Parts: sequence; C-alpha cells; structure tokens
Amino acid sequence: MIFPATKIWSLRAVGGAAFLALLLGVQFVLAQRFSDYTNLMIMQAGVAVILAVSLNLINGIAGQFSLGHVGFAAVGAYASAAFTVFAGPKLPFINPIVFALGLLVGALAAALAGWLVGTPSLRLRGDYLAIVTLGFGEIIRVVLRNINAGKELRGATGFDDIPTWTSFVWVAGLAAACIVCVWSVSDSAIGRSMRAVREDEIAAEAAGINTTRVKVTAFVIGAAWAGVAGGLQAHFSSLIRPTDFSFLESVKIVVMVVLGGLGSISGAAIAGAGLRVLEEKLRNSDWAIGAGVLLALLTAVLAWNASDKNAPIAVRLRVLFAPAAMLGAVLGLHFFGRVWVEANAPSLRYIIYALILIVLMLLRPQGLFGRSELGAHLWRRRTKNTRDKSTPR
Amino acid sequence: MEFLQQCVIGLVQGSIYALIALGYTMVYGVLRFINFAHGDIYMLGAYFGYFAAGRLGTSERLREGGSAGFGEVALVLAIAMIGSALVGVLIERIAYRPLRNAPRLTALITAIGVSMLIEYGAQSLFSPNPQSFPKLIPETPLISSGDFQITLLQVVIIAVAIALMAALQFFIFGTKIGRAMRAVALDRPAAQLMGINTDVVIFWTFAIGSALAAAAGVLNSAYQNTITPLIGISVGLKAFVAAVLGGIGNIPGAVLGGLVLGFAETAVSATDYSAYRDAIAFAILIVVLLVRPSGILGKTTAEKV
Repeated sequence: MIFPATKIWSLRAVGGAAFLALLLGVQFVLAQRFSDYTNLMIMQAGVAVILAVSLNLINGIAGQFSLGHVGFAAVGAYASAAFTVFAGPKLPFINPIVFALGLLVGALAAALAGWLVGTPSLRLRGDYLAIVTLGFGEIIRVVLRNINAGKELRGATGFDDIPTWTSFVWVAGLAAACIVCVWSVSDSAIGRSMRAVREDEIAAEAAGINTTRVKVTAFVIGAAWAGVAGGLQAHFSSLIRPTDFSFLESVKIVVMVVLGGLGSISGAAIAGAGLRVLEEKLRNSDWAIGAGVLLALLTAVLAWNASDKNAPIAVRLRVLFAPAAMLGAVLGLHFFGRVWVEANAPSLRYIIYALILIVLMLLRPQGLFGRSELGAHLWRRRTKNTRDKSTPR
Repeated sequence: MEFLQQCVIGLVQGSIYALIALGYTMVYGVLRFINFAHGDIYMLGAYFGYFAAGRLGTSERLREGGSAGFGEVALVLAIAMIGSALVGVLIERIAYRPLRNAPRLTALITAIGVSMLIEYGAQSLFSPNPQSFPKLIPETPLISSGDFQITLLQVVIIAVAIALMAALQFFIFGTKIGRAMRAVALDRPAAQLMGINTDVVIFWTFAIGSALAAAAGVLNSAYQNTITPLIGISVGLKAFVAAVLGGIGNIPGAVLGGLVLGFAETAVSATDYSAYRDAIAFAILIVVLLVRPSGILGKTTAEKV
C-alpha cells in the first residue's frame, strides 16, 4: 500500500503524540510506584541505550572502531549544561524549550567534535583508529579539566548546579528517537554504504562509494547522539566532572555494543540498558556472585556450541573444564570468601565486565545477537519478496 | 642550567617510556596487534618489586634510614622482571593464542578485556589505595652546581635502561631465537614454512617485552614513590604513543620515540601549559598518524589488495 506523503506525515504525528502520551502515563506510574533511586536507575539505563546504540552506528554498522565515545558525551554534557545555566535564564522561553535547545546545542557541539575527530582519522584503520579516538577522548578530558578552572565551568572540581530537568519522558522519548534515527540511517543507502565499508573498504571504494563521506557521516551522527546522552546525564546528575568521562566509561559502552553484537541495534539497546542496571546492582555482593554463576553458565553454553560438533562426547566435554573452574571459583568465593567479596564489590564488577569481553571474544566474537535484530524474522517474512532474492542460499 | 636540568629529567622519563615501548613494538612486530594489557604488565612489575622488597626486608630497612645493597636491588629487579614475564606469557597462552588468526579487532577487544581484568583484579587483590614504594636507590646528588643536579637514582635509571637495551640488541641480533624473531616479524607464514616454531618465538617476545616493562615499572616507581593498580593505564598509553612515533614494529624506533616523548612532556611541564602535560602525548600521536603514519623510522608500505 502506498500512502501520499502528507498522509505519512500526519500518521507519524499522531503516532508520535500517542507515544508521548504513553510515556507520560508510564512516567506517572513509575513516579508513583517506585523510589527515586529506581527512577534514576531507569533514566541512567535510557542514557546508556542512547550511548550504546549511537556507538553501534560507528563501531558496528560502519565498522570504525572508536574508543573515545564518552568524549563526545562529555562535549555534549558541558555544552548543553553551559547553555541552560548561562544562556537559559536570559531566554524568554519556558524550561522544557530551554532544555530542548540545550540538548540541541549539546548534540551540535558533539557533532562538530565528531566531525573534527572523524575527518582526520579517516586515513587510519582498525587498531590505529581505536587509539586515535582514545587519544581524542583523553585530550577532551584534559581540556575540560583545565578549561577556565576556578571560573564558570570550574575545571577539575566539576560543573555543578545544573538544573535537574531530565525526566523519564525525555530519556525514553530520546532513546526511542535515537533507535529510530540509527535504524533509518542503517536502512538507507548510506547505511548500506557503511556496511560495505565495514566489510571491505577497498572493495567499497572500488564500487564507487565515497568512503570518506560515509565514515564522517557515521562519526557525526553517532557523536551527536552521544552529545544528547551527555546532555541528559548532565541534567539529572546536576554535577558533571571531567572524571565522569574517563576511558573506563568508553570501555563500558564498547562492552555494551560488543555484548549486544556489533551491528545489531536492538542488541546494543538491550545490552546497554541491561549492563547499566547490572553495574548498579553489582555493588551488592549477592548480585556479584549471581552474575559470576551466570557468566560461568554462559561460558559453558558458548564453549559447548563453539566446540567441534563431530568430536566424540568425551572430547567435547573437555571444553567445559574452564567454565567449571570459573563456577568453582565463584562458589568458593560464595562459601568461603564473602567478606572479601563484600569488601571488593566495586572492583569485582569490572572484573565481571572484563570477563564478559574476553569470553565473548574467544567464544562468540559476533556478540549475543550477532548482526541480526530482535524479531527480525517476523519482519523478513513480510518483506520476503523484496529481500530474500538478493541473499544467496 | 635550567635547560640542562630539564634535559636530564626528560632523558629519565624518556628511558622509562622507551623500555615499555619496546614491548609494544616487539609484540606488534611479531603478531601485528596492540597488546593493550602491556601497561598493566608494567604496573604488575612495580607491584612485584614492591612485594619482593617487602619480603626481603629491604623496605623496612630503608624506612629505618638504612640503605639497600647493589645485589638486593638487582634481586628485586630480577624478581619483578621474571614475575611479569611469566604473567605476560600466561596471558598470551590463554587469551591471545586462540585468536591468532582472528580479525585484529577481536584481538584488540580481548586485550582491552585482559587489561581491565588485570587492573581491577589488582585492585581487589592489592587494595585500590596507593602504596608507598621503597626508595631502593637513594637520591644522593652526584653532580650538583647551582640549580643543576643529577642524582644517583637518575643515573641508575638511565644506566639500567641502556644496559637492558644493549642486552635486547644482543638477543635480537646475536642469538638464534632473535634471528627467528626477526624472520617472523618480516613474514610469519614464510618463517613458519622455513621450520621456525612461531609459538616459541611469540613466547620469547612476550617474556622479554614483559620483563622490560617490569624493569621500567620498578625504576619509575622508585622515582615516583607511589604505586596504585591503575598506574599502568596512562603510562602504557603514552609508551604506545612512543612506539607509534618511532615507527611501530621498529626497535630503535621505540627507543627514539620514547626519548622524544620524554623530552616533549618535560618541555611542556616546564612551560605555563604544564596542566596539559597528559594531553601532549596524544596530540603528538594524532599529528604523527596524520603526517607520517609509519613513524619516524618506520618504512611506508603500500597496502596490497
């Protein structure tokens, strides 16, 4: 069925309004039923979704490995906070409009940073690009630490007294917008070019794709959304410090994208929200032990699947030795080392993060979802005629 | 005099970076991948040295105003180097060997995971709090005139670095394993066809690289006085920059890059922009990769389709 363009737009407007109303309803219920702490965690999970999905565009879909994503979030956070704090009171608008403008300023500033990073880095590939983006992230942090220290932005002590305007509606609405945006981009002509660049840059260039433009586009869009995420974060934590945007934070986003599957948007969203909640929950030693057991079981399943299908059962069982040892270690800590676990829970959660990365890379480098989307088989069935012909069997 | 003084500081800093950069460049030369966990091996080396000095009773004697003998310091250094070499080899065996033919990014992500595992493993095992590292070598001034002075510690750091680099040079150009290493770096499949056991070569690459990083860890910690489980991150990244600056995969390049970086950082520290000291390494990295990606001494190679 083909709709005229105006009708599509009115459908979209009605859908958007309905979605916004739904979000408002959910926010009301959340505020009634759950504590402030839980609501804060939900907002953090939403911000993580934006960060993971936007990094997925750069890392997963365009295949340009970036280790400095949090640097863009830092630019967005500082730019939007500076806008709402310094320019906001002078503008004749109500707060939500000032906030929306602030987020836009953050997104534009981050997009500019993405363009500045992306343009010169194009010539680099793979691990070199990773290091350069990491370097840019570090430079941004050092600059923020020293930028007019002691004055308005307060340098290393942190930019505080930012109005707390972020609410569930803002986070959920923008997370949905981010997913839709990245989805549309990846499903468009330039998205296909991005995938071509990821698969083989030289072949893509030979096929007439402007690889420079494609890579910069991925960087700019990804960075803009990271800037939005930073702006949202600044407006619910009310204090942002340069140390909030350290290399570790970038690695956390990479873990989300890798766990979800490089190239899978739904995978990135689910892993982003899940890992951010897990990170908070893992402060509790019961959760840490539970996550350890779960990780050992996951390792066992992945190792079993990765082992040689035709080998005798006795040989295949050998791959379970390492997960069994992991399980033994976790249970040993549970029964004999609880005091130690409780004392070191803040460090132990990053050990779990690290083990997730290593186990996945060794046993399932494509991540949990691979490149496929959640529910993709339903979609494919409907559009069978247009899609399946092109895929060789 | 001020200038000479800064040169000495730059030379010391540069020697430390050079020692770590050698490990990055050797691994890159043989395996073509960035061993992200190398900075953490440096940190482990510092901790091994710290524990060795504690066990030998050296730390306590130094705290009470005594001094450490030459043999004792050498023993601490040797324990740290051997311990780190074992850890480096173990990491290669468990985490990197299964990925030897995997895409480079897979290996890079694994290396990030290993690096995180070591950092936070060390935090939970050794406590996240800073520990004060024993003054293994006293800072007695050897030459001192006006503003200018060179301490014994500075001389020892430079001397040990030179000795280790000379030993490495001998190893690479004077032994059978060294020749095999150069062959593998040149062309791994061809080297394998000529009967070289690449596993043995890679074992030695990791062992030697890690030992050099550990030596740098002990020396730099004696110079800086404190250690934490996260000291390896920034030093490791900067040493990597040094390796890229000199031309990654190129051993004299790593030394040159380390020295240049050490001087550059010291020069920035001496100006009004000293707060930007930590950013200069990355600024250099970006400029080098844009202007001459193969580094100062590296060879430019065309990519084959």
